[in-house]
Amino acid sequence: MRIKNVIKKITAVLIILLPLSVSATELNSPNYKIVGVTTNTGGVTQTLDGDYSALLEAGRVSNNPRNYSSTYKLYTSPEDAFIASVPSVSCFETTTSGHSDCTTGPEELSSGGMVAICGPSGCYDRARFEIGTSSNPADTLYGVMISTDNFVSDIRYVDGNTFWPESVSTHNLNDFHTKTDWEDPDFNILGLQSSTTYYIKLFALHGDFTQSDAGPAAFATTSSGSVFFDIDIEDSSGISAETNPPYGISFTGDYRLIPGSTPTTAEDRIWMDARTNSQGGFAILTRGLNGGLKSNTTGQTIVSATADLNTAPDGFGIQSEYINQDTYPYLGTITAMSDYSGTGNSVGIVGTTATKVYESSKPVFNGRMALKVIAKAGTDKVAAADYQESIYFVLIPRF
Amino acid sequence: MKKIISLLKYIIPTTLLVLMLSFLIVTTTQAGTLSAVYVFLSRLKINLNGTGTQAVEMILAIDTSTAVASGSTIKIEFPDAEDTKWCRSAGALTVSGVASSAVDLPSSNWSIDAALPTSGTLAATCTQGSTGTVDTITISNIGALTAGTTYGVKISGGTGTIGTDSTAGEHILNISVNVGGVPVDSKSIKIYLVNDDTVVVTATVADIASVSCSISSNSVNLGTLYPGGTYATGSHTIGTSTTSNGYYWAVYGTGDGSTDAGLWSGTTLIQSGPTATLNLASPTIYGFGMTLSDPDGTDPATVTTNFVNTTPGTFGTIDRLYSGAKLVLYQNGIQGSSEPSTVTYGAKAQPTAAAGNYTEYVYFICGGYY
Repeated sequence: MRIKNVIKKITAVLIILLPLSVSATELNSPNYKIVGVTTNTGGVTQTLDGDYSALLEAGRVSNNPRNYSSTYKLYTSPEDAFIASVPSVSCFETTTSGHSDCTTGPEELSSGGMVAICGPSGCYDRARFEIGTSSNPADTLYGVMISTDNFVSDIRYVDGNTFWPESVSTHNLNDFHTKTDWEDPDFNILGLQSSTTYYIKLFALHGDFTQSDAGPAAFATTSSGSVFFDIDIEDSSGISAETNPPYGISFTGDYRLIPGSTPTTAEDRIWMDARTNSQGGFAILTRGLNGGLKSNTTGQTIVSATADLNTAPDGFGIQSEYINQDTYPYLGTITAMSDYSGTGNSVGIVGTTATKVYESSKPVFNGRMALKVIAKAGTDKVAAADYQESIYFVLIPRF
Repeated sequence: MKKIISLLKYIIPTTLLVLMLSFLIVTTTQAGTLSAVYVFLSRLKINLNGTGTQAVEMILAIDTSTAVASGSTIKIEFPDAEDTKWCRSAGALTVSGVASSAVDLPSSNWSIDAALPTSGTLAATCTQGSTGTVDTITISNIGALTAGTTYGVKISGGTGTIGTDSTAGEHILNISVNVGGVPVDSKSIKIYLVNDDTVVVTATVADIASVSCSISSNSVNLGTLYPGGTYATGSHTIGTSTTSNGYYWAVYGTGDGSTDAGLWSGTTLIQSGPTATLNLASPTIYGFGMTLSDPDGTDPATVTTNFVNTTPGTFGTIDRLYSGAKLVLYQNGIQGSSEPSTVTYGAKAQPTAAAGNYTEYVYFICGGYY
């Protein structure tokens, strides 16, 4: 009678706790069915009744690395023969540079590390891992645990759909994929915090009730993000020039503006350096203090506008002359906005509100750009030596 | 009944245990990561004090990874080592939602979809950090946020002012969406400050290139010429002042209106003649001509060969009409100073010349080389 009561009580507890359990859905037959099980060696078909004799292999040595070492071997129960082998993490990378232990990602990753596919300093919000299968069959499914404290109190899983970390409460069978499916995306963990060490463990599933224990933890630290911006002033040959502020461009001497004359291009260029690993690339914007070259002496302004100064009677603006960046096919390239990418004497505006001059939609390594400054004084402009404009430049990374 | 009571002994504690476990799961849930964010600072120069021409504005674009109910706050936190640099003075800031910005990357999460929704009226404050706390911009009265929608908000100085740190290089900003003071979504990003973000363009606008020409007198009286006698002279000056790259003078006459330039009485022409020059000092040579003096000693003003005044009595001849204009003086190069030249006319009447009043209209053409 007491035994009966105990069973009832245990049953009641299990009924209440059952919703918290995670169950596999591969138990898809009213009869017993195990999908895709490999019995390793030893299984034979009986000659008389045709039954499979794998269950008779009780006592054979487990291939689960948890159960043996160099000093002991643990014989397992028949059920354990069906539990998937504990997988390992063959690579888990965020900031590797010049090398990678990952082997199934894009070629740029293999040769250049994560910086080659995430940009300078590597990845700040994403990572890539690959699975050591421990001889599990190709159709074995794997799940990923992730933590920031090596699974002391922060225990989450990687969502199999979004690849973002998710809580235990939303973890389900959809978060299991084969090795191939996990490794097909270039980045298979997204939504990470920057400058944070993450630990991951893998576990395998090869049929219902066959989930392995989690394997050993691997860890990687995300990049803190990176961005760089610099201005230099040099003539058109200054591709590698580095100059210090204050930065000035002048239309004087032989480059003075003569009212009614053709447009004049200043001798020096505005050179800029840019690099970032921000996934949305960057934008370089410009605006002017006056909206043109203004003379306090005459009160006149050579107004800046997007225009062809060959035909406009008067004007001032900038035009992109040079764009380059390191060649990383996986990363971004810099482009000049259409207003600033003209030829001849077509210029883009330097107005009092900010406008975008250059842009990249992806991370960029060692971007270098140059802008011409072109001006034309109309016949209504009175002579003076104090026409001036302060042009501001900002680089905004998009994280 | 006894059985039910017996079961409840286990069901109730177990239920409580489950609820506690659920609570633990919720409270240990990590903050999410913002899907997309950028901070568009209006200036990147170090050490801006936030006032006047050093005012700093920012546009924040933010996309949460999960939906956030109305009543959340957004915080922009700056590094602890940079206290009071970003919030140059504490206080309320001016804040408003913006539906777009120049930084937007089209067709991406980094493109503002809508202005930051409000729950009441958006408010923002700048609070200064000290040891253990950081400069923080807090935006409050925010409406419900939808995951996958990028919201924009513009912040500028009010009673509080926004500045920049004094050190060039990377600076980490932590952006978070908070519910009940607890971050539910956040991301740390970097911005880069430079020593100087300004290129000053200066220009000299020169005068429009011009030439100013003057003739000291419009009439010159050569006096009385005696047929077959000596030659007579008269003169005036011409002046040139120009900002162009040079100037020129050319002349032509009218003469008798048909054959040649020269002094014309209505019946008799003392012609300028077909030769390039006239040596009126010669007893057998008659006619009308002119010379010009070299206007400078150093500048490259040049009197053309036939009109130099270096041989007394020898004058260059002129022709009729504009088509016969002759270059008499020019300069190739910027003029250093105003340069007068003396024009001397010489005339000698032939023996057959009838008595009368003789006149020649000499036209001067002056222009600049641009």
